[in-house]
Amino acid sequence: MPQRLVEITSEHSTLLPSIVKAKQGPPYTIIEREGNYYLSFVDTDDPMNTQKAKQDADILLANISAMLTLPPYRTPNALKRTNRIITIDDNGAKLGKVH
Amino acid sequence: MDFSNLLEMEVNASKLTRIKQALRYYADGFSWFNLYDVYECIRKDCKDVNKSAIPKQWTTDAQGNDRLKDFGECANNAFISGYAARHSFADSNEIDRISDTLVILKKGNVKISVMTLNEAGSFIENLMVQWLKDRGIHF
Repeated sequence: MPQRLVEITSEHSTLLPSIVKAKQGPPYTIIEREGNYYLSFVDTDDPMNTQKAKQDADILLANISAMLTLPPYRTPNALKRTNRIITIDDNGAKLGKVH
Repeated sequence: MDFSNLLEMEVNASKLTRIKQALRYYADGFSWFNLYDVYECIRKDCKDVNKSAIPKQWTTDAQGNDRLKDFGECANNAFISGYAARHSFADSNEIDRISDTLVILKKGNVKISVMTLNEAGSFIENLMVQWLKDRGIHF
């Protein structure tokens, strides 16, 4: 099933590297690829249509950001999504153009 | 800071609808509306899961005072919190202001220790942490 990689950034320098090193599992993971960080999740929608993937990513990021507002983290608004989305097929090949 | 168990906690929290809802209200910034929405989520979850009210020890401060009534009145009463309150002046209990930190509701002669919005944020944050721990989500 196609995998969406939605690029995310953080002003908090240790946040994304720390998450990437941690044990992660479904339904989504955060990965590092070529120096950038991505929210990675399965998406069965039309690979050419990235709107739904952006919406799904925004919901996930809102949930993670909510956890980050609580102690001991207390780092609100720590994660941001960019518009860069990569879609990958079962063989690891990029589908369509990178948005 | 160690963020290594953040996603695991988020995934566990997201399995519980009421927690997911409360977190979203909490993350939406401090207002009496948002904080009260968080409280309503916790209250409803305790009622559904524990078949009881929110445990007193979750709402009691270091001095041994249960602050739940103070929170509720300050959130709702426009005579205490002004236009930021959830209710209008028309629908709020009138008060006698004894000091900056103490008012008495004219109806029922009930003493209310005034909470600022920041104090209410801390109160709800503590309540959230206690509740999440009780639901198996440890920080």
